[in-house]
Amino acid sequence: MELFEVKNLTKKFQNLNETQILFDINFKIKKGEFVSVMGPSGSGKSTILHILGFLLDYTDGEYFFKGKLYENYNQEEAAHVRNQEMGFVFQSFNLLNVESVYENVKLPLIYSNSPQKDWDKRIKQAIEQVGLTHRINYPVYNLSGGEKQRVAIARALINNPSVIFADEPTGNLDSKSGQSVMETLQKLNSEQGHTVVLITHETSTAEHAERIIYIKDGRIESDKKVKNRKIAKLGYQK
Amino acid sequence: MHLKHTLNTAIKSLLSQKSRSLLTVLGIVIGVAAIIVVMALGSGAQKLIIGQISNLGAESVVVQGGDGSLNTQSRTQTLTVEDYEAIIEPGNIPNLASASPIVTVSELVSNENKTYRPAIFGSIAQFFIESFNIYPTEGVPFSEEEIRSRSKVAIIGQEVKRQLFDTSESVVGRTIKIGDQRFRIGGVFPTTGRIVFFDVDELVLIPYTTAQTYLTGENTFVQINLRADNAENVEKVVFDTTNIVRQSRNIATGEEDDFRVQTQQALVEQVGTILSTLTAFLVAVVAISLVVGGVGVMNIMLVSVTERTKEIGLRKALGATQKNILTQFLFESVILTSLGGLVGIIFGTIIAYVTSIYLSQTLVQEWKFVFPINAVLLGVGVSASVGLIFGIYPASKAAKKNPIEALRYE
Repeated sequence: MELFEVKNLTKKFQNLNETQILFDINFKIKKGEFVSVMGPSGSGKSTILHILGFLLDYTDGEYFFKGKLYENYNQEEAAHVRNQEMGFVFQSFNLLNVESVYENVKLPLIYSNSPQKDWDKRIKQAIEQVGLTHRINYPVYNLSGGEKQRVAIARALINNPSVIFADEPTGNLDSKSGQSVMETLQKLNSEQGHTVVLITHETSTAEHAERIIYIKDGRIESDKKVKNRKIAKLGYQK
Repeated sequence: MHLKHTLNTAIKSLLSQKSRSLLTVLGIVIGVAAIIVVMALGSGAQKLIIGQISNLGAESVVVQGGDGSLNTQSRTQTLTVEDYEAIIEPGNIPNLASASPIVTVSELVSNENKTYRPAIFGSIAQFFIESFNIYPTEGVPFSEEEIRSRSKVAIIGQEVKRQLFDTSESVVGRTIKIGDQRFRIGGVFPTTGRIVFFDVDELVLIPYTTAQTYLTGENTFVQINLRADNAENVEKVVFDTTNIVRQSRNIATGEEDDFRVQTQQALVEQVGTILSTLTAFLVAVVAISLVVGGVGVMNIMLVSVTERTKEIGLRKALGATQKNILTQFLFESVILTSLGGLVGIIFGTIIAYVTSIYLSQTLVQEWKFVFPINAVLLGVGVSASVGLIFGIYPASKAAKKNPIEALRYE
């Protein structure tokens, strides 16, 4: 079953002049796939992720999430989809720096309807999954870049979403931390069946996916399976 | 979103900027404190004056000349001896127990080279003493006989004594001049302060007959105080008095009265209305400071929304709806102003209490501190409303932020 389907998608920005970022984009992503959207800086790959993540409206074309047209979701429903179906991992982490690891991971639960009695168990499980149990009460500003990104992954996982969007998740990390983040994403995909959509400009990172959609100047140049898929194996640095 | 978490988030956010929160809320603290002070002192004044009027007794009826202005000294003296005699004529007003006219005199009083301008009333000493419950501590009140014989005798207040004699010894038997007339001091009132519309300490009380004969030269009164034989008969006395005075003044049927007959109850209501209006006006003036405080809160909330643009974007990306963000920021502004309101209530109550003690020691002994429960409710209500009203614009600005633009904000 297709989780995402986009047809003839275009996106224009209205600044001083009208700028078209995406031209006639078409692709489908199945549930459980690990897909990289790759391209040089300014190619429009992040815009695709924001549209897929219900964070940005498109200009023309059609976008179906779980078979339902995006335009048919009202604001409340869109917020519910972001909360329940999608997890976001950003390049700049986007954590609440003064809060603890625990409080940051809890954040999506606050906007969910899940019963509070389960929260503590779920938060601890998510933190354990990314190997940060020993940092659970640390304020985020005390963590390393790799640890911060793993907090972001735990936060993305907390509502057990269908898809994890990772926008340049290794962009601000050293290579070891980057490997550890990629290993986590691969495990979440292979062991737990989460769909992962990875945005990156690096071929070496993109090759951790099973499929790469290559974007250039707002158009899809290629959409291919990865022949020699990289498997990240480093283990968490506790 | 769970309300408990919204509340926690709002409190954490306010605590993370303690100094700013304190300074933001200062305007609300001052505004609410000012409302409490004005209302507490207003209630205190109202209670005092109404209490004093009530002391006149439920049997009390007042006939006033002219427009019935409350200020005894500025009112025109239009009631005549004929009016007074018609009132006290046996049988005219069956339920009348006693009556006393009042003449006001505008003269300087002097002793050797010392002069002073007191309030000079010509009246019947006994009636005056019973009505206001003040008996001379030195000497005795002048008698009926002294009234009939137009004796030049006076009872003076403590301030008059101090200004003219500057002595703690008894001045009974000594003389003062009122205008160019020499009066013997028959008694001295104790230190009392203000009651109703005059200050007893600044009073010179003389027989009304003497005042008319030697000082005003007219046979008119500013007011005639009556007492019904029973509180239940007050309305009958008002009715009979109105008829008798109309006859005495030859007012034809259909013409309006040129005098007023008021009961103590009417006087209480009249004074109550005046003081309530005055207090409401002052509260309205003071409330302007709350608006200024509210604008301050709005300003800082707008700064906070801008500073936290990224956080708002993040929360929206994680599933917060517009309503969630709106509620969170409204909670912050309402908590801020409500806390300001509570602190304002505490400060206002302390200031009003201290002021009441000061007033009771310096101006009027009977001044009591009145805890303004309605002002407290008003203070809490108004401060929370200010937070709500002035928080809506920043909160809706936050709620409408586009998540991705907010996330990109640096």
